[in-house]
Amino acid sequence: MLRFRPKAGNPFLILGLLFLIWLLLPAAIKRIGQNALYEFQAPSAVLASYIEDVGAYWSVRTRSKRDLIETGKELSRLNALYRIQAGETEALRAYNLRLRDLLDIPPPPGFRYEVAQVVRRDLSNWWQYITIRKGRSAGIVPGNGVVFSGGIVGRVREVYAYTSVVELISSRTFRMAAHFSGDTRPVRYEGALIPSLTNPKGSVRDVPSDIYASPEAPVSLVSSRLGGVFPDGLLIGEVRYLETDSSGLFQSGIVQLNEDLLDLNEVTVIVLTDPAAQEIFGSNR
Amino acid sequence: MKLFRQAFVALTANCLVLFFVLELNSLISFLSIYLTVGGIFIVYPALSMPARAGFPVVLLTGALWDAATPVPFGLFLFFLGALYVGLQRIRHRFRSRRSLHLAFVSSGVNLLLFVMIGLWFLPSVGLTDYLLRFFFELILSEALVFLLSFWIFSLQERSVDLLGAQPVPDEMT
Repeated sequence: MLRFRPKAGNPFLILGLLFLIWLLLPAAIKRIGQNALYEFQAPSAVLASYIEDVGAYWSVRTRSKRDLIETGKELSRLNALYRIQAGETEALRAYNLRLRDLLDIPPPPGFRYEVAQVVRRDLSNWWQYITIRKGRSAGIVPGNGVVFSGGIVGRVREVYAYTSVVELISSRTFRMAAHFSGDTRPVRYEGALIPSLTNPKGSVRDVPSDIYASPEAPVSLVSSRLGGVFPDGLLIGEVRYLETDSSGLFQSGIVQLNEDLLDLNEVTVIVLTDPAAQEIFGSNR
Repeated sequence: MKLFRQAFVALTANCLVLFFVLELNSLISFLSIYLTVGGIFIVYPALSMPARAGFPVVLLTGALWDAATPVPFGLFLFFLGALYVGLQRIRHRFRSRRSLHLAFVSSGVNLLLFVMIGLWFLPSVGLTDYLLRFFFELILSEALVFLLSFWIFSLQERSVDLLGAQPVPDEMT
């Protein structure tokens, strides 16, 4: 049986002293420590991601040739459709540039797209983040927008050497400028708490009172270029119900986000190509 | 050297559990469920190791957990540290080192940790949704901690035995 020792209070004293030292420690040293520990454990997550890729490769190898041929045919049909759409987009882009030249409008900031695999998903009641397998080496900076085939994913929060942490649009602390499809007036989108076993959602505020949404006729909420992060028109989610808020002037409602947001495997980071914009972006974050 | 071996075993086991739980959470993210098993990190160092080895192990585990999750750096470090000193203070009450007793202790410590985290991140709006998910995840996390305890403590005991670093009662001060 262990006896009660008079030195039993020492651990409390040591913890108290450590806490005091922690409070007085410069933020730079804490940051260095955090980065060092993050980079120390990051390879384990990246390794798990590569092992998952290998597993997916071998599971595809076990499928029959007939299945693979059918999938290949379906993909080639999709490719043909996307080539046609890409051609139309190019024509629209060229028309847009001619109009900008005629009206002497400055060009919007240019983007390039960096595709990245998702390494880990941290989607809790307290935070909503994912880690991707691209970092500083790919030119990503904090604040870059992240998208996927279903629309907006979120914003890059932290960047390390070979990985980045992305805050999802379903995060409670996420905010962005948006507008409804077919309407140019800006509204505010915010992330919201997600109960377990339900689809992700957010909220929209400052909606003009003349906009109407119903479950039979939902309205699409899309990104606005006002924030300078996302191109205009990328899908955020659908709004099926709007109600007048406490001010009586505007409406607010729940935004149903894409359910694939909780199970992402691959995303695309929108990296600004304009050096001046990159510098502003990097310094503001 | 013996202390170092004990600390090495405890830290490695904690890192293993941390890695597996983070990967598990990533796999079940589509269900909007997130499991927290931080209580397991404290029990073995607090009950079966001297403070000179156990305390740094717990603090380092907390720092690694902080770095791997998007929380203010130092949050889990001090949460785990506070729970460690509390458990260490009363460890003379836990005479039994049977797996079942340790599993109950782990669940109790994890419950306290869960409540501390829940209070830290308490939202100002949407309390109903928050509490519903909080209690649902608490139940699942407690179940996981209880089941995981049997394996992880046995692993740590065997590893310490293999390395010849089993602490004697005089060292447990």
